[in-house]
Amino acid sequence: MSIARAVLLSLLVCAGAAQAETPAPLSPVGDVEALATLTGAASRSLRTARAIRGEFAQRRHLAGLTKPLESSGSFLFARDAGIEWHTQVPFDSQFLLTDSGITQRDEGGETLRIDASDQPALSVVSRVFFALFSLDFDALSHDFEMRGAREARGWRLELTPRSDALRKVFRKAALTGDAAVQRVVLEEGSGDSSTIDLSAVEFDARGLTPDERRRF
Amino acid sequence: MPASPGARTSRFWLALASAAALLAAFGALVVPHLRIETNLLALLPSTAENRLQLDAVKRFADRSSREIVFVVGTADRDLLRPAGLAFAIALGESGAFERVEFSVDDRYVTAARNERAVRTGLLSTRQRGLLERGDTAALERDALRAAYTPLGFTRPLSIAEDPLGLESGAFAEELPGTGRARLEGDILVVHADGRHWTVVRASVKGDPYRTETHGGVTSAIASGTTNARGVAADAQVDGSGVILHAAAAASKAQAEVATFGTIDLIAVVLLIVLVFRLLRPLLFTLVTLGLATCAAIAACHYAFGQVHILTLTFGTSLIGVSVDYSLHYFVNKLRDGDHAPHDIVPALILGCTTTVAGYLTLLIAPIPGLRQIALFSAVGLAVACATVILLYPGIDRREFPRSVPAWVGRFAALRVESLLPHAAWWLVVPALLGVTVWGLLGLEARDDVRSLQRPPPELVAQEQRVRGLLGVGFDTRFVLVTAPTPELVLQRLEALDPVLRKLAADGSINGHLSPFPSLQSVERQRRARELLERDVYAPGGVLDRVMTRLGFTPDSMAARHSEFQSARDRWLTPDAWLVSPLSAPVRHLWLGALGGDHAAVVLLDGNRAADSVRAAVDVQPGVQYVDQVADISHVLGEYRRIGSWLLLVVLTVMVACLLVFYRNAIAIRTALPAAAGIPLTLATLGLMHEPVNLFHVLSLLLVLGLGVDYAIILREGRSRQAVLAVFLSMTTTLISFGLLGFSSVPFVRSIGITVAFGVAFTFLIAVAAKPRFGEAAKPRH
Repeated sequence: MSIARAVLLSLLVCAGAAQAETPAPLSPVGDVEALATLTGAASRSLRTARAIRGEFAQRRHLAGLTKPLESSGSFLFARDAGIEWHTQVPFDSQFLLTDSGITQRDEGGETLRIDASDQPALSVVSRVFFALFSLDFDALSHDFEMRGAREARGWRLELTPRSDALRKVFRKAALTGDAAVQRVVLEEGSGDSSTIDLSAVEFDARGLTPDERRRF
Repeated sequence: MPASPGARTSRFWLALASAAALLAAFGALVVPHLRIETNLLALLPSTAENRLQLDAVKRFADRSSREIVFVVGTADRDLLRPAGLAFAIALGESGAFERVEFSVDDRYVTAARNERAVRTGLLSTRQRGLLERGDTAALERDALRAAYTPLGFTRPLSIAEDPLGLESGAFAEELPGTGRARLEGDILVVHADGRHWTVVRASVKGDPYRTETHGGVTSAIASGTTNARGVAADAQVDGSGVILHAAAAASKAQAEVATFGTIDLIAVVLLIVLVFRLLRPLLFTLVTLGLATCAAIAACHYAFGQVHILTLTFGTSLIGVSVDYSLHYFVNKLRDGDHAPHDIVPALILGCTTTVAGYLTLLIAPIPGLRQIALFSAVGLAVACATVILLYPGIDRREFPRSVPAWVGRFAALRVESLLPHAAWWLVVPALLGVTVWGLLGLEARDDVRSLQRPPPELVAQEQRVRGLLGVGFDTRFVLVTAPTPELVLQRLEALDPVLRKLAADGSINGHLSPFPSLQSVERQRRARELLERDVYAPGGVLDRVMTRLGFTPDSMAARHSEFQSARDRWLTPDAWLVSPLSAPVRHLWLGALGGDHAAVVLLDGNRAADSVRAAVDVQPGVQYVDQVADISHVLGEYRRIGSWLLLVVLTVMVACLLVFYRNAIAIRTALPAAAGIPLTLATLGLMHEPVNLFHVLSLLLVLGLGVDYAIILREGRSRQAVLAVFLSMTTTLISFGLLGFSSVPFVRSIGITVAFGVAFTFLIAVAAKPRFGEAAKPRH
């Protein structure tokens, strides 16, 4: 099964190379090996990284708005702690996502805390975000159907929720990348969508610094 | 006997016709409608302060008894969903359940979108607080944060539809949490103990306390478990729900009725065959038992509308007790030298009256279960006695070709004084007194109703696993809110909410589950809309500012305004809420109309400081803290004390009466069996480290009746027949109650061992203290 998929994927890689710019057709990603084969270098560096740091630029397209809402800042992914999403433009706001819930801190110092046990949807958001960085097949496969293809420069992975409940939160998530995840497009259940570009991504096998750990 | 032969014949035919009518009525009218109740709570006294509370507690108990939560666990995460699904499908197809929930769909989000027009007055606690304080800046900041940061991804409505996240906020707050379970794909999952677990919730169809319902539920769970194991061989299913306890208790009780009944019957048959060596007494006795049982069941059926399974368990003792009258009758016909059979009817009536009176004393405690047992036994005994007196002489006309067995003579000759040399008594009596005092000093009382009910350990372990996995600990204690109108109930729930939040902040409870905030009073919704009109929807208000800042067109801003205006005077009412999918998680807590009033229940999670919770909650108007276990335990303790005093009073009055009627020495000999047997029984319980409760005390009242009975029959009969009759009666009673001593139901066991010991002691003392046969005594007539 996995061998067959690997063969299929390597064929797709060749096909992708031959066809250059036209998007490659997507095929199902059924197991860990298939995902590793697809994402290549990205999955190798992800496997060893304890922490990932980088910059993000987000464009949010809302229904009723002609212009997208743009924001940017830095992010920190810690395998054993969670995700810190630090928006710096247009305002300073720190968003901490852990297994137990969400904490949001503002420049004003006000802290907003939401427990995952109070809001089942939060854990879904949390897992999608984890998935963006870790490409953890086991965690993803329960929530999403995965389809992927090699592209001219790197790869493309599409996640479709398996359940109606999830589809109300995310209709679809698409990831593209090469050695790391480069772009994430989230289509929300409400019809809004977001494009997040990641840059200056740095893999760290040692994990969080003591200063970073204090923030979680 | 003064009755003429003619009167006696017509009386016989009347009795025979009545017996036939009883059997016919039992078969045709009682059996088809017979309802076997298995709810142990139905046996216990109501502690409700008023009718409303009583009805509310009943309705809630009926609803919550139907709910079962299952966890299905597998070691392989990939097999979790298929295993859970196989289990859920089997439950659904069994027809035993009204509702089986496994996969989570989008019904709540869809409902929240569909019902937007009636939800404009619902606000989350945070947003309402901000509006009340006039902190519009924070409201604006929240809205912008949601638009730019990942926080916005959790919202069911788009930013264009709900720019401030007001509806999304209210929606998120009203859905109850899932404890430790998280949504993975479309199922709720907990990872623990190296396994993966998913949750299946089910609601039982039909009366949760009917044995037919239990059968359906038990076999559905069994086939569901088999199906789940077919998917994943290591699949484990644990369940938690009141009905599982009820089913276990009922099937155990049924097994006990069958076992005890059979052993009892075999013992009675053996005893009759051994003593009489004739078929006639056996047939007569069995017919008597049949009539007595039918009459007892019919009486309970008509008096209580149902027969409790524990009444039947206890009722097996009727076999041993009601057989006494037949035994007396046939023993009296045994030949014993030149001693002629005498008229035993007065003795039978006297004996029956004292025993029935003993059972009727059980009516003093307002415990429905005990009343049923009392009625069951009293009717059974009266019918058995009447059958012997009215039917036997008409059918049993032949001579009885047997004599009193020889051993009875030796037994009858037994005398206290001749047992030991006189001097030895100076050692034996103080020693016995010492042991008795030691045992009595070791006595302790335990009135906790939980010690009266012993659920199977396997079931308790399952329940603990389910609670541990899901991380929620709702127990039997809850808060009841009542008011004359639904609106007022809601306002009281709203007033209670901050009190409970404070208790949660103190750590007294983990949290609570209430129909609020899913359903809110119109008053609260109106106030919310006033706040929104003032600060949010006013021209240049928060809505305009946020939408302008985000870059929305004036058209879309106008659309939001007109939406809000068109929802004016449209409220979420209890009727609309009850039919909405959004009410499902807490619908059972809304009790609705009860007589002229309305009620709702609030459940407490992890109630650690019951006293401070009760104190904080009870001061709220229309709010009552309900702890049935503690209240019932308290009542049981009260009645144990009352019962103990009653026992003492009855004993004193009895001795006084005997002193008046008999000479001093004889009075003391007659009273001695009961008066000494009761402390001895209590001392034995103390030595056994058996904590005493109301049921022990009430059993001692029964012992008192039986003890006096034995003494009187021995005194008045003064024959070997009397000794044999009392011996047989004691033996059958001992067997019946001794068997009850092996019951798995603690209170049946309490009654069983108390009566068994009591009867054994009083019998031994009665035989030892009986007068010499030749001794002169005042004749009865």
